[in-house]
Amino acid sequence: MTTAELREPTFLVLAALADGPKHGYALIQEAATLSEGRVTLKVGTLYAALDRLGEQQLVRPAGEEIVDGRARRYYELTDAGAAALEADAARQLANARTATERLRRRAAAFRAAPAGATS
Amino acid sequence: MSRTLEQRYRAALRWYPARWRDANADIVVGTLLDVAEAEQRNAPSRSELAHLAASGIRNRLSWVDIVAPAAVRQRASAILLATGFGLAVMMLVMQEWAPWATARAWDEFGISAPSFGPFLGAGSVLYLVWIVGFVLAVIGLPRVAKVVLLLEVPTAIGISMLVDAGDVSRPSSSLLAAFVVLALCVALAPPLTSRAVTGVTAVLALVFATLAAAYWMLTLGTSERWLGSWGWRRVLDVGWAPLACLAVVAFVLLVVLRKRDWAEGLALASVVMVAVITVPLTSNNVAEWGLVQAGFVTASVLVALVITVTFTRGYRLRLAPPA
Repeated sequence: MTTAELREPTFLVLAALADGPKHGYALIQEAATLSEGRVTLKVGTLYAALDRLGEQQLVRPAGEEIVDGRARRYYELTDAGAAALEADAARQLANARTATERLRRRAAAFRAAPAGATS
Repeated sequence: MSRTLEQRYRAALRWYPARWRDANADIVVGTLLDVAEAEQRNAPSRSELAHLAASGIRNRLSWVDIVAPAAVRQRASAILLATGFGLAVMMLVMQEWAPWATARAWDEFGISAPSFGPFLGAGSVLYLVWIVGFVLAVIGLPRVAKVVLLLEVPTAIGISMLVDAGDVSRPSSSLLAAFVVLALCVALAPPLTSRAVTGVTAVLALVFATLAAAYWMLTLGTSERWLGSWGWRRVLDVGWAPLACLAVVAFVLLVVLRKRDWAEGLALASVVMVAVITVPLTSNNVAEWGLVQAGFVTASVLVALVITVTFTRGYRLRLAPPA
């Protein structure tokens, strides 16, 4: 298991695999959905990430099939991959909570300050 | 039409190594065809082809991570950055700063002192660029520092093209090449994002700058002061042996202290430095002695590197994860 911070494409690939095995194109679609269309994974980036995650034993191949004459390989999350995803999600959640709390305090201070004293 | 598209994608995958293609080409082409179909394209997009080329080249270069992992390249880069800083400071102070210049060239041969603002020659730009890049890296702007250091390439080309080769204040071609090689090595390595690495770089640079200052003080008023290419050659003649000793002692200490990444980084940086100084050391009329010296240092460094890699990084040779 890795404790290093995951880059966004890696995080999205792991998150896309969290609910079951998927093939390459399904992973690209799922990453776009998860990021609300903000991230479109390039095919080269996807397979480089899958190669790397495979070496780190965070994902593994889960079978191949031919559909309409096209080869598809499915990938699934390993237990170590699930743990890495969970750790990174918790880290991001903690960061988001901290930021939200500070913004709330800032807004409260802004409301409490007399007019003209906040510039 | 789809057949043609598939053939074009297979051709684009030639950027990847054959072994990778054997294992993955069918799967990747299948995904590329899925994407093309969804986007209603019957030809690869330019960005897709460019991206496949870049990914393929990165894949082919993955051996670099095995031979010299990112941590080792980062530390080698730190050492080279500090070495370049020491060299830049020494050349700037000893040769370029006009008020302190007492070079032997014009004293003995009656050459009038050149002028380039407060400096003697255009070589000062080369040294100032490196110093700025170094400062940016140490204060925590490693990516900006890389961009600045890459300016050494057009600077060196500009100096070699614009300044007459017979100008005594012009840095020699080997010195220009040295700064270009060092700049490329630092720019291509992982950035110095670790505070520990940045701290060591700063300390090392201080050591080099102190050595340079000592040399400058010791040679003040003596016949050791030379201009331009003569000065660089003189610095190498005098400085290579102490620096080689320093490198060997530091290497042994790092191995004993089990600082493996630093030991390997030092070995890698030494290989680059040997390559950089071999040309000027083996040129001119002391070719044989220079060759012997450079060959000795090269052999020592390579042996040290091989021993380190063999005995301390054996586990990295395990390329594939266990099934």
